[in-house]
Amino acid sequence: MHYLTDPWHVGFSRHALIAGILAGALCGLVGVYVVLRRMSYIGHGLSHAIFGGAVASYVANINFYLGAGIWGFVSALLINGVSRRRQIGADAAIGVVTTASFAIGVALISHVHHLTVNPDAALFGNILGVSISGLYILLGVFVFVGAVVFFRYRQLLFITFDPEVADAYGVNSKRYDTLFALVMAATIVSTLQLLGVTLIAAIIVVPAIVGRLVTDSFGKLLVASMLIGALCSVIGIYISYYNDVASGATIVLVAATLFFVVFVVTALTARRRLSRLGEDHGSADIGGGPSVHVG
Amino acid sequence: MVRIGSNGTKVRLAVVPQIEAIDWNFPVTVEEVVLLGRAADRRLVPWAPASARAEAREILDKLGIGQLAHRHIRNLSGGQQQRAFIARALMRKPELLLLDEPTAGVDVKTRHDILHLLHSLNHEGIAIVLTTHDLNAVAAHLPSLVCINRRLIATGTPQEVLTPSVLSELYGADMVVIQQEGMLLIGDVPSAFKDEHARAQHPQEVPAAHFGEQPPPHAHDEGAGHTHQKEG
Repeated sequence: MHYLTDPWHVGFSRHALIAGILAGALCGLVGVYVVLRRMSYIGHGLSHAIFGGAVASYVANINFYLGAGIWGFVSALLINGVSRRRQIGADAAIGVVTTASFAIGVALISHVHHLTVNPDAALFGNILGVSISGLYILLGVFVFVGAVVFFRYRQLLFITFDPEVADAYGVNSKRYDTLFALVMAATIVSTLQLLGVTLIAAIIVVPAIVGRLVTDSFGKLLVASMLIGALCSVIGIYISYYNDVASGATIVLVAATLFFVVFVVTALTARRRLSRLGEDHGSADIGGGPSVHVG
Repeated sequence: MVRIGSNGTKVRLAVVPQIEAIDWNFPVTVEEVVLLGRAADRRLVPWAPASARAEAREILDKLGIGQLAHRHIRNLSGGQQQRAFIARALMRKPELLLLDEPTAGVDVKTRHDILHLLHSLNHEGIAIVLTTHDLNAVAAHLPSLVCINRRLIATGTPQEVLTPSVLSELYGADMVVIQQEGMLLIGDVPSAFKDEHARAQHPQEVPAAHFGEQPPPHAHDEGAGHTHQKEG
């Protein structure tokens, strides 16, 4: 039992566990919209874009959350704007905007020689090093995103499900796309230092697709994805704490393992159900088929 | 609400998208889709009020799919899917209903049922505008047509509009129009057979002579015109 309680008694790991629960639930919640809008790559892309913003903020001596947040928001708006062109599409828009933004960060690092920022921390994250202020910002973003999803549930559902006709039903698609860009930027900026540029996409996408495998209800999917995200984070942090493995990588590996388990179990269940249906039909044919009388 | 006409009259509009454009694996039930018709209502909580649920149920019952309210949208037939989206549109109590190819990709009976449903909605006072490429089964049976191919080509009743000259301009190819017992039949012949048919019908003339206002009975090429139909 002490295996479960010990990390809660140590300051840094307690903070990491709280941050993990909040970050996992937040990414899981946002991930539902990302996956259903078929923009799974946006988490990966936007975190790279924000890396550029983080370096630029450092160079310009601006607060990381403010500078990187505005940078991320503008990048998300640019992705929306570019992907509205039918010839381009969301995936290509993400590719162009985010890699250009990432390249700005890399160029700045190589050009400004006195830069003492450690790219490893940004690329791979360090949840065990979360500060109290980082924790409060994460809590604030979690409350903000939760409120947006709760109070704008139906409008967000509409633009996710059927964006082409949303405006005809009184749902201003541009306004909600902008709100979603803000949600995405806030989510990634607040979790970037915990999970890392390269690993954050998995925490956004995996809980939603695992949830999608087990439910056909949008409301249940939101709850399931939040819980799965938080659970993967907590399990990942425990493994990281006891085995001295990088926390971000452990969380991603837990999420990926859960995905494969659920994928196999649901596939086997579906196959069993199909074969049972086949058997039922087969016996019904034998018992209930028309009889032929000769003579 | 949209403004229409020269005096800018406001009308309540609802749109039914082409069912082929919908993500049928999206995790929503029929009832959730219908309730999205009220997505713009000012309401702070995510769940719909009992009155909206009752109304949705009433509309689904009227369209004959009330028993499917809690079914996932993937588990519906083509006709049922179309009805679910018409039900969402009706939740807005529209004065004008726009439908994008409502009979595309459905079987004959479903097409028949959808057209009957639209006819009865029209009789209840809803103006209906739909797009179609199906000239024989849909366009020829509607009260008013608007033919558009980048620009307005013709408007009027099917008898006035579905003529070889209009169809030729609309589709950029010759088409055959046959009238029999008050019924319009529009046909075409693949271009590969056109010259052969023309030679067989008029051996003394060159095939190109049949193009234009009076096409031969079987002359046709592929075209890409849009026909917009109006009811009401």
